[in-house]
Amino acid sequence: MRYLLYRVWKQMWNNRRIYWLIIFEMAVGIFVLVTCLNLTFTNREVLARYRQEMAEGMIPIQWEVGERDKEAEYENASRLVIDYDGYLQLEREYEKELNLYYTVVVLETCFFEGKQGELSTAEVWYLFMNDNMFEKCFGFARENDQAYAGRRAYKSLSKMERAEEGTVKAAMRGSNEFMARHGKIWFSKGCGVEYKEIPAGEKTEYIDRTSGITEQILVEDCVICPINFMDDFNAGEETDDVIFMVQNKNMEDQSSLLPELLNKISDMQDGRYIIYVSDEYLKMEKRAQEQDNLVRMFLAVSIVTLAIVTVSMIGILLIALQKRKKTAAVAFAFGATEVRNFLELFGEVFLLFLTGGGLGVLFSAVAASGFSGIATEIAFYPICVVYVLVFCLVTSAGCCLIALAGVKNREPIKVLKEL
Amino acid sequence: MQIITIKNLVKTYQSGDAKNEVLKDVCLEVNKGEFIAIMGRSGCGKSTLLNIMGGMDLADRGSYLFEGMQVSDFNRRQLAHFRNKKVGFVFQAFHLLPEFSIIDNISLPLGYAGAKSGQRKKRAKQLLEMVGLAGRETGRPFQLSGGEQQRVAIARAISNQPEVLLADEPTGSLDEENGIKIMQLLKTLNGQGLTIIMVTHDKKVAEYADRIIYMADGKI
Repeated sequence: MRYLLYRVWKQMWNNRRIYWLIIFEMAVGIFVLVTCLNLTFTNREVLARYRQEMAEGMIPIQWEVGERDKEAEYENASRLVIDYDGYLQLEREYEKELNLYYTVVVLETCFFEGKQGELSTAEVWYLFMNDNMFEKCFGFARENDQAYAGRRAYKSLSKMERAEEGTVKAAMRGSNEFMARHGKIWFSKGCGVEYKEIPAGEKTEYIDRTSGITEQILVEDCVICPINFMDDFNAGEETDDVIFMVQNKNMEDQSSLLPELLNKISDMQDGRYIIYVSDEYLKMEKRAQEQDNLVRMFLAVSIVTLAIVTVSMIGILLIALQKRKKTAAVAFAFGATEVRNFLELFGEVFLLFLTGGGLGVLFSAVAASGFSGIATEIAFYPICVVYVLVFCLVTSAGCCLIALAGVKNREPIKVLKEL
Repeated sequence: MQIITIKNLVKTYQSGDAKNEVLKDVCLEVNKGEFIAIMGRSGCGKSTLLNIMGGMDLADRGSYLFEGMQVSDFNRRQLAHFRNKKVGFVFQAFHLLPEFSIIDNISLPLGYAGAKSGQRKKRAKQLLEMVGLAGRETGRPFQLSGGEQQRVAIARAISNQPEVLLADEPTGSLDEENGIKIMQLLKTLNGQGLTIIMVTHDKKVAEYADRIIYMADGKI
């Protein structure tokens, strides 16, 4: 083995002038390749982490109007963006892959006439919540068609119950639409839902409004109704807002349906709104896509460089083998087998590629911290060393075999006779 | 004591449809310590016989025993070991490797035998001294004259202390003076117990041998 390495080293030293060039080219090719691999791996890891976070948590989907006019945005944000029909359509399409969390928000101002005829008011938030959202917010499953009311809202509903017909006055449009009578809230004629106070120890004190405006609604001011009552809700009624969140059903699933979902919502709105997710994930994915194009370009550069190195090496070997026919024949005469001769050649090329490849990996490891991926600086992945090693092994063997196949009349006796 | 026993050796080369029987039922016995010269016209099969005796080539038929071992049955690895340990070659054109130093050329068989670097250098220096080229270790073969190159080639051939030295026209590329020096060197080595089988055209050179074998048309 030592003698094999000694002979390999001697041959490399004899050809050092041309071999420096091969080492340099190899180092450049491997540097670019490994940097691209590190960038790709880093980005994948970042995306996977965000995907995992998305799978584990709920992703609020938000929207804003096309023109970034704060006033107009505020006004328009109070409009229903994903209406009930839209929600039903999304639920049908994504029920297998996604958990949808959906709430329609309606603000009602109730006016009550006191004993002396004075008016008092109470603001009640009517939240039409689907079962997913309800369970997520309150930590228990809602009974079928059961409405719940927060402490203050419950008192307001009770006042309505006690009030004589006609004593509750509508002072402005849209107020007191949802009347409480006989233990039910009535949304329209023939459509009422029983209500009870939210049990003590509820999970949440407030509900985040996520669209357009950021605001918190205190649960004690809320009446929470089943979403299916939207079927009987007067279509002309003003709604304040929609809260819409999604979550992957399968946490193992790393594929993202978000872009597709957002496109669908955007189509529903005829492009009136800019829909976005208040999660870094999409930004990351977009940046990853941009970087992917760059990575592809550099990968192509590295592959071309490495192909040039390989072809050059084959050319050099073809010339070298022609010159070394005698060396191989003499070695054969003094005890070398053909395998041994091949190993010497292979060792030479492999060490050459390994030196270039090693330098490339080293530069890449040093330079990794100088480049940044979609979120963080590029990490160095030790697996790249294995890839480079395998690449060097395979290409070295390939170069040697191709070059040997290209050299004719290599039989030692013939060679020694001819010389 | 016989070191080589060859019986009914046949070797045929095929070129297209034409068959050329180079060796025809050759029989030969060589005793240990003998100096044999094989003479004959070009193409009579001398070199082929030498190559077969040296394990460079295999016969088509017949038996070749070396120290009682059937060389014809050796596999590639055993043949390589045989060439490395049992025989040493000296060629007409020296066949020194120009890309290696003189010391590296001499120690080539030692390297394939697995000798360590120190052992190789020590042995190569001894041999250089023996062939009268002490102090030329680091030079390259092309820096030597023809006679000196052949002496280095002989040093290389005997570096692994083989049983038999096979020399194919060892003086063929040398002038008379250098030829005599080489033959004297070979005679000295033979005197030290080395069996030598030499192929030559030159009768004067052949006279150094204990026995001359004539070959004609593939037969002895």
